[in-house]
Amino acid sequence: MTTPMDDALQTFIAESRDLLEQMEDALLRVEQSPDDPDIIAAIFRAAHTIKGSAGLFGIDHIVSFTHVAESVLDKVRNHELHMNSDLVALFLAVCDHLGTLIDLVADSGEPNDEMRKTADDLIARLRVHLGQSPAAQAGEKAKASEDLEQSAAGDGHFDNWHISLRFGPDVLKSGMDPLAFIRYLCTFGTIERIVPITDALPKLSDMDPEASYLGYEIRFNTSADKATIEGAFEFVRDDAQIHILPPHSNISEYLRLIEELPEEDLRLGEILIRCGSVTRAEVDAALHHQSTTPEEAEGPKIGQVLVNQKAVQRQVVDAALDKQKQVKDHKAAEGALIRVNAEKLDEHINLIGELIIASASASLIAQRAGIPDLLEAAARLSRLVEEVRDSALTLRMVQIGATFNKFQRVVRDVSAELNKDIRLEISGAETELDKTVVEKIGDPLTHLVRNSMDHGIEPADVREARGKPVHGTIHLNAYHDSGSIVIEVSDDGGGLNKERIRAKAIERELIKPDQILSDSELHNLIFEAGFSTVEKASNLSGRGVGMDVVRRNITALRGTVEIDSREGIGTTMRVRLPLTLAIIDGFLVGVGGSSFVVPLEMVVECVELSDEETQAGQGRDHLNLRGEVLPFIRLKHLFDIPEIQPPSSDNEDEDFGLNQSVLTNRNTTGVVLTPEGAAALAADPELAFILNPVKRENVVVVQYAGHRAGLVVENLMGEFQTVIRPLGMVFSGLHGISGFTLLGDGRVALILDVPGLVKLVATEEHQRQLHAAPPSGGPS
Amino acid sequence: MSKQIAVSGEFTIFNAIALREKFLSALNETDSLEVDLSQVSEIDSTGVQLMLAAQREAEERQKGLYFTHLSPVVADVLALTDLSASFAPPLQSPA
Repeated sequence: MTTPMDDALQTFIAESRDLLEQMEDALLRVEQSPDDPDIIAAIFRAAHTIKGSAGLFGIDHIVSFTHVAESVLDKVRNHELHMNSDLVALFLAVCDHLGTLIDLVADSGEPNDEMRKTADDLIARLRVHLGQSPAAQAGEKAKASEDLEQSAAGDGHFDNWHISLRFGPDVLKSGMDPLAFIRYLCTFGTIERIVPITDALPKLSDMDPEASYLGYEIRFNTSADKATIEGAFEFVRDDAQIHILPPHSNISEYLRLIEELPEEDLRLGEILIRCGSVTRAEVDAALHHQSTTPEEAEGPKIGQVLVNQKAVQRQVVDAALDKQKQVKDHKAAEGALIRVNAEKLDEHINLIGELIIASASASLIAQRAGIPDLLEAAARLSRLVEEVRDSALTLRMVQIGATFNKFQRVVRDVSAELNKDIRLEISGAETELDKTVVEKIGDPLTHLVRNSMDHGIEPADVREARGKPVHGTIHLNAYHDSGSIVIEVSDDGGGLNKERIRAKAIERELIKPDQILSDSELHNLIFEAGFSTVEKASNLSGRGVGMDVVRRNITALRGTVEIDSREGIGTTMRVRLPLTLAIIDGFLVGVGGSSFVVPLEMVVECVELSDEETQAGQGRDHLNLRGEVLPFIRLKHLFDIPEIQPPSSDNEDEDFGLNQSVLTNRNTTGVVLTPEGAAALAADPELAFILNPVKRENVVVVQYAGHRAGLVVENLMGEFQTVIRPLGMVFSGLHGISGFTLLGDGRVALILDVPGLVKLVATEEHQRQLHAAPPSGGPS
Repeated sequence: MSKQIAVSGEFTIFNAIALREKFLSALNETDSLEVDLSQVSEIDSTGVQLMLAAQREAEERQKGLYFTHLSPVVADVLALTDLSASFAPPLQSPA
């Protein structure tokens, strides 16, 4: 079970990562508008908030690192420094390092030597901007290490005791005066610093003039021992809260003191610092401005909190977290967002999947029972379940804009590396897609972008010679298209060089020298393993391990990637991914005794396949669809489905459920008949023939990526909410099937892989065109 | 308008209640109050508390309150408790 502290730390990590993203985003924007105060403020705010939050958790190395960065940012804010590209580069490096440090926190690790060196390096560079020469830095470093030694020796002020006094209200009436005790202390030591605590003092009109309200925090220098000091308060011990902390007391002792004292913890922190009982080093490490003047002069800060590495006060954390929360609430007021554990969301969607199946089952039983009220209720239930399903699925949708924005940094860094001037344009950032897809698409996209930048965009002189603008452009675009999301990575570079590809393919024996390939086939060769036509492999790409991995990753997401390239003009990589992975609207069809589901989004229409049309095709599987040639596949042939005998109409076997009842009550309009209807058909053979001629075939016209194909089936059984269940590993070689689902009666229906089938049809068609003799009168 | 009062003799628990009333009514009567402490022979914690409370009251009501001519014992106690700065007299006596 996680403790509240663990949860708080997880929140800190997640929010710091968000802040770093915001900071990086702002840094990239500020390069274009270096004087925009809003962007600079955003950078400062991000750093400042990370520093403050890290301080709460006692993550000192983050606090001290961020503090220096914040100081430089402060100067930028005050127009003492200008945000030029050097400074931006420096801060981007700072961002990166902070990311590493945050990751360390997540892994509960400690910085290693390399990280320390990076930090030192960055701090030195930052300090230059603070106007601190290396000599001064050395001096500061020496002083800092001195302070550190002190705090290593003992976190209290060297050689001083700390005495905390809170007297009971009646101490004065008892004849004792706190002042007397303080005076007594002076007889055997020196009060280095005393801080009166007046918090409890009421209004002049409300107070009891004879009661005692004052407390004191004292830093006391003495060579006397503890017993002597305690002895000073012997007579008032019962009437007062006395804390005596010896010299070299641990910071945790002070924290305990804070806890036990009645005043507010943050305020006590301030008081202890004023008292000098805690060193500057600790204070520096706990988000404090470098100043020894009283804090009041600078106004209330976020609260100077003294924390130990591990012993952080719950109340202190709560108080400050509340404060942070207020700030955040204000910011989040515009879009009330809620952080949800992704696993819980997945669980939620799984449950909805079960709900859909259960609801289908209920509908089925309702139909069989034939009770009107029940049918209505089941229909209503089904509708609501559909709505819940849609709503739950949208929860998992995120905009792709966030992913696209990350590429600003990538493009910037890579163009610097390649010494090319390349700009990034983004469109379609609001296009939404499933969260898991977003996470997995990042790597393949990165590779595509890098590829475009490295190989696509030509060097400046070549571009100029070609009449192109000297700067190259990478364009990221996203949009929805028939149930998929399409992501395009385009460049205005030199396009794919067909000759080079062909030469390389021949070299790698992927094709024969005399083989004729279409442009798109040539282009697709780059996805073969080990393929790379660059003469010299660069750091980034060209080692030939990229594109095949990209395609594999995309295929794993049930997506496809296509290439659209023209030499001299540019290349577009088009990635198509399914919008939802879990639940889809399906169209149920029957072939032989089996049921299949076609994703409804890809269904264009259903038509009958009459005998004439089959003949007109002359043995080629084509259909004339209003003048358009539509290739088709017979699923029966494709999946080798045997004929089954339709059962007799008086078969009352309940177990056969949906599929059988549909077979008996076949109807091309897809209506499932009630037993009465089926009986009527059975009773009237003429009616049955008209409505239901034997062996009528139907074609479901589907579309994917601009290609159409027909799937020939026997029965059309209507819309069906489909919960996609993945097939096991055993079936991974199966073509044409992308999953399975359960029907209301528990039978299995296979989900057709429409993209795969469409491609199959197109390929077969293509092969036929290439190799067959030209037809002597083709299909009309 | 301003008013001057004085505390003389003991500024201690023994006349704390009376002194509180004195301060309160004086603050009611004027916008600027000067309290002469030159004749204070003895002061204890109650005295210090009254001084602090009176000062806060005056601040709250946006009135002037000045403890002037601190006698040595008063100055001593304020130094002991690091409150001297809080009661630093104005450079000029108010009119």
